[in-house]
Amino acid sequence: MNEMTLPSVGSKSRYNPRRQTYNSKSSSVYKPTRSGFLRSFYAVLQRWQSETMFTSSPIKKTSHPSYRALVDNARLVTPLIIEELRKNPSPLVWVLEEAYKIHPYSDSDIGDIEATSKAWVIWAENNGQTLQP
Amino acid sequence: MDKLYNHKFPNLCNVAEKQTSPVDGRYNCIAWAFKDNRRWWWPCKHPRVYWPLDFSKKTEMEAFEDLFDQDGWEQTENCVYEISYEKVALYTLNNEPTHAARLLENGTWTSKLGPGIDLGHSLECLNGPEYGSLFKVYRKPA
Repeated sequence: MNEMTLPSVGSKSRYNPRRQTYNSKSSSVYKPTRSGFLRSFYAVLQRWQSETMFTSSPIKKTSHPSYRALVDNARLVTPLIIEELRKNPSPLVWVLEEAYKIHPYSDSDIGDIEATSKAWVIWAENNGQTLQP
Repeated sequence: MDKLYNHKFPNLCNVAEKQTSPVDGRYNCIAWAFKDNRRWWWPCKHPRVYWPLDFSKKTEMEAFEDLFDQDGWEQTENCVYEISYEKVALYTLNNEPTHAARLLENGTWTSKLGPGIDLGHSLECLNGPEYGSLFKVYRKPA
């Protein structure tokens, strides 16, 4: 199931299979609301992590549909991603790099998941992207 | 626990007994094979991860073979521990690198499964649909 086609829980609108047009050229591509993707964020993350749990290749890990969904909606859930990285530095940090197209760390830290995760936490704190006020 | 692993590694059993570390997403199997538990190693520019050599204009396989060559490793048919040698095994699937393991002094191979656990194992244990099969074993003076 493509997470991007899930209707928002509690939404008054009924599920419409014709909205399953993610990646199509149709103008009716499903664009989740902030609250909609907030609800599905942990399910999408869990699916990506579990289905790539043995994979070392970053190319394969980042081509997974759930990873693509995380990138496409990263700006909606940045504080949640930051909290995950604060608790547990992981390749989830790649989502932010691809979504924001910036690297808030020095080149000497390339590949250092802990250092790059910490750099993104600091970036979030400086840019109002954390859960805490 | 085995159920989680068996569909990817049908020869692997008693995972809980073989496990030597908890899940840790900070490094991957290649890093672990090269004794680095701080970085994610792969010849890849997007996302940005660590690779010790320039790999532009190289396939993944060429980049891996270049790494072994430039770092002083030679191919060997001997898969057991030899005094004064380090050994690393490379796995491939469809001619693409998938995984690396390192031989310990006690004769056990040690691997990190992607971002997951570390475990001790035999070379055959990791053959299967996820990593393919053993491609080459390399050695270099310790």
